[in-house]
Amino acid sequence: MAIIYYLTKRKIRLIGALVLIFDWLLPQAIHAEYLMYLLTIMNTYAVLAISWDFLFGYLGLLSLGHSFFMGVAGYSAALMALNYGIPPIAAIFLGPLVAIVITLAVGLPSLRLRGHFFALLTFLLILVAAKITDATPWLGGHDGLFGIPFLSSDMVIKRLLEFNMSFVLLVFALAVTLAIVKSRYGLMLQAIREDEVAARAAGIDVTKYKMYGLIVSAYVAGLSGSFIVFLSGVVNPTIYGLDNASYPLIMSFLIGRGTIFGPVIGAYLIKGIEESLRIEILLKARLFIYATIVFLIFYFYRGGLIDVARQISESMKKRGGSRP
Amino acid sequence: MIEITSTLITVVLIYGFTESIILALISEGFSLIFGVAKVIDVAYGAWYMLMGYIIYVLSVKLLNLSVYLSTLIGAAALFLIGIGYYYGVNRRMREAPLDFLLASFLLALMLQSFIRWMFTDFSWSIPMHIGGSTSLFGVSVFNQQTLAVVTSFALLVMLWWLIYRSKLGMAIRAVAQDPMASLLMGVKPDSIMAYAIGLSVMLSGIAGALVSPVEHITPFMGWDVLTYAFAIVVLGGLGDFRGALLASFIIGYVEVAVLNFVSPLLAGAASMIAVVLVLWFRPQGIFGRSREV
Amino acid sequence: MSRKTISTTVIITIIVVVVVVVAAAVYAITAMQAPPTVPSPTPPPTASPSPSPTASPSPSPTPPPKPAKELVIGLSLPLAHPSGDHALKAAKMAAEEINNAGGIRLEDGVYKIKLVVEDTEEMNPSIPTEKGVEAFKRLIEVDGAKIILGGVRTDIVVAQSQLLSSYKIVFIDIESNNPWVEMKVAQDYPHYKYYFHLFANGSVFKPYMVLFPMALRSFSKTHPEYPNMSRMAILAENALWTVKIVGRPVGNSSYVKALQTKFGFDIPYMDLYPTTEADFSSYLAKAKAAGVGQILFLFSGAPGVAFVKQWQDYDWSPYKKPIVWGPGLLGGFSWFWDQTTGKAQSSIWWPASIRLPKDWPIQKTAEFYDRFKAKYHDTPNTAAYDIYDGMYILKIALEKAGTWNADKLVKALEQTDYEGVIGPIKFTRFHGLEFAEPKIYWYFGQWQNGKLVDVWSAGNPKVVYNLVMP
Repeated sequence: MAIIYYLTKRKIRLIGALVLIFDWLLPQAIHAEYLMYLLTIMNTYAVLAISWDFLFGYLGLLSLGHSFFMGVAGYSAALMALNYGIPPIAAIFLGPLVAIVITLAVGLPSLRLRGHFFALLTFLLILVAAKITDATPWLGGHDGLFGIPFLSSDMVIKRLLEFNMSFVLLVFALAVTLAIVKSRYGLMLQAIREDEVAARAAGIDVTKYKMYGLIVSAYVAGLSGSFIVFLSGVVNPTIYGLDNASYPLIMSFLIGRGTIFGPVIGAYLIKGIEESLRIEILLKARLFIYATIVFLIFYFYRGGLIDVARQISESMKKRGGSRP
Repeated sequence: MIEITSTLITVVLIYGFTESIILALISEGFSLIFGVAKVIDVAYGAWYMLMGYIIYVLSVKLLNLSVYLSTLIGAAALFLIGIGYYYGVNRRMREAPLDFLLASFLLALMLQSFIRWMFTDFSWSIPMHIGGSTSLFGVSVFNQQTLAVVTSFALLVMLWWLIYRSKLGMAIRAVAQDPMASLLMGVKPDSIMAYAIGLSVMLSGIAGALVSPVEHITPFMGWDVLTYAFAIVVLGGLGDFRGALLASFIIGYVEVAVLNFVSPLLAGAASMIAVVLVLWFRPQGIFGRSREV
Repeated sequence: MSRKTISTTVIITIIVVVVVVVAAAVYAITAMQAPPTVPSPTPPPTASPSPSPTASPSPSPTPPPKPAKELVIGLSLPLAHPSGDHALKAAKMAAEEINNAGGIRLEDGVYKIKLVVEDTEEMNPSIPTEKGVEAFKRLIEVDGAKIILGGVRTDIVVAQSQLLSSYKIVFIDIESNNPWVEMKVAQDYPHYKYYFHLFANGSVFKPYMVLFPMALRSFSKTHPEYPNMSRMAILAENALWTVKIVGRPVGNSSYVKALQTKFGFDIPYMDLYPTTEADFSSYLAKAKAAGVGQILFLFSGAPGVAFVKQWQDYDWSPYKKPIVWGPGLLGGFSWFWDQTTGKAQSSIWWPASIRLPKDWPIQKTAEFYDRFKAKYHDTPNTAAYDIYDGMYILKIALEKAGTWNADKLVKALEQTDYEGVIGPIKFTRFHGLEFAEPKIYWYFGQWQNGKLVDVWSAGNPKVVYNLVMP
């Protein structure tokens, strides 16, 4: 267990970087489509988890409905590609802009309030979004939109393109969030998270900064949504579902919130375990097992696995220190 | 397109009332836990769902008990679960409401996925307390719904009496205002809060036992309940008994009116849009006093 | 002091984001001005050096090991749903029977069937489409499936069928009811020819939806104790498959207009309901106020349970309780009776898994029904029927083609002419099921004391029989 002790934030970033390189190289070396698809999915969920972690870990805004950004961007990108002939790669980056607009329209008032409202409002939004999509014919209703063009019509190129695109998105998400977090702006965000009243008193326009953070998070989360739509070629209201809403949360909490690289590792771990250990019980009780593990970790150590490791190693140090 | 006839108006008036009073029961329980412990219980819908499955197991799947008996057993079990919930989870995270919110979300997720694992995500039925229906001003109302209305009304009156007229209620309100001060006055905030949360969990369960026999039970049905409870509480002002009561009548009637006069497809969304609008213009809720939550 | 450092980093970040977005926009505009060459759906199907796992099984020089060779057949099913559950059981049954009868004889020897199954969870409303695609890829790449059967939810089937041409693998769809992919077979044969639809799609059902209510109406004319069935209400689930039938807004379809004008039905009440609806009392009140004698109820999932329970317990006085009928996949399943705690009594559904309907020429159907019931203590649903036949037509086509090479197998499957438990099976040009000859899907079944009883057949569409009062 002592090994985990060294998983401090910096070490996590190092491991994360190594994982990234490995992730990029591996499928290029072994031409296995399934592996490639799996990594593509993992990268996509990692992007989603990063945006969630940025919002909660650095702004203190708890989002229970992160699939909202994913869904809105996904639908927008799909409609752009289907109705206006915008090429998929452009639509991937343009779709999330719609998510930003809609998020600001409905989410802005909740930023003036404290955490509770934001958390429940996001949760409410995914239920409402699913209902409205269900009732709207031009969004395809209950069955959704079909025949969304792929990134490339050649299957071999498509496969490579999808994988590389997911990798690009992951790196982009990491770069953007890390740049913000490392900047002075990031410090300000942390100040707001730690003590909003003090930050307000210090003359920081809290609502404005939260709004900026929300925009960044919505854009990054939207990227994962608009990308995943082009992977399967169909989109329907299940994209708003609870699975997509709870995954980023579980992935981020497994390792530790506010680490940016933590969610990436979490996404890889959870999706990886799910796919590699094809045990009957894990298939059926998948979400139950994840939710239980994360609940237990959260219950005893609020900081995720990093916290577990730190506490264990600290107690070991104490014991080790008293022995000689 | 849809003609507004006198029958339709009667339908809206009657079904709107049944819908509203059940929503009132749901939202008062939700409001209670916020009013006393100042936290939001995201697992609130999960208790509603859990009750359905407790009855399903006791009355259909395993033991073939009478529905009344299994409802009572379920309500008692949920009260105990609620007390355990307070001591196990809530008290541990009292200083960080957001952490509690997250923990209750994870707990709801656990419960839901556990039920899904056990009973699949297929919908099942639980037997009604009373079958059949009765005609009221030419509109037939299910006897089960009448039972739900009567029980909800009785429970709401009891709850009001409990909070505003009884000694326990005084203690609850004292704890809600200031736990430390109430401790000095000889009230144990821990046990009071545990009672209140047990009551809230039980109310959610009873609402489930009253409503789901007419419909069906699925592992996901709790989330809608949570949505309504939240919407109503936002509309009425957090932790306000009269506000929540009035707001549930607004939401209930808006839902049923939209369903009947506009389109059933928009019924679910209409009231939520109303909530978002209220958040824009009056974030403290229609009757709320404070925006600091 | 360090205001500058803040702004530089933030500005750099913003610049990066803006540049990316602007570049994407510029790219989009230029691509829009160019003629739409980008999403062209017809690339030459020839050059595909994909590492396809379905390499042609040319007789290898090395003699294969003596123990019987295995042919892996993949099942892509929602296992927590009765359709997936029964399909898996029936597929196991068929595989056992085929293996016991000597297996499948291909060019390079005799093969035994080995089934592999992946759970797509497709009937779960909170599962995104990617799960179905993942399951499909896993079947092919990890489990080594050479042919795949399965499919229930339309969007999952659509997403899966888009993969077929890259893998060159045959997919037999057993339960989705949408003709979307059949349409694709017509438009883009080289890419979609690997898809075969072994279930009735929505368009097949349309004529029945005129003939059946007419039969009901003429029945009620001679039986005054039944409600007046010339007045009708239509309640449809808000899903893609009901669009063509009832139209949007509801009533705006050739079917409904024909019912009203050509066939003289009075339809005073029509409505759509969301797929999550659980409380139908308002709908029932409107139907009652309209005094209808029959309700056409289109559903595919959970709302059917709530509706049937509420319709049964509703107080219809002073009118008579209307007859409820319609296409409801779940309604004709054997679990529906338990699911509604018996409240399904007298409701009429299509498709219905009936043991041996009237005038049904094929004895095999009842034999299959009995064997399934003896083995699994449950009456099979339509998914079980379909996959059981699917396994057999596959066996015949495989033996005809001599290989599982998809292109050859497609040719063999197109010539299918087989008498299965659902009736004689032939495929149309677009790989849908040919409906000219008798099919088990010709029948409407009514729930009577826990059993589905046939009450109408497309073979004799003028009359209803065996009917009981609601």
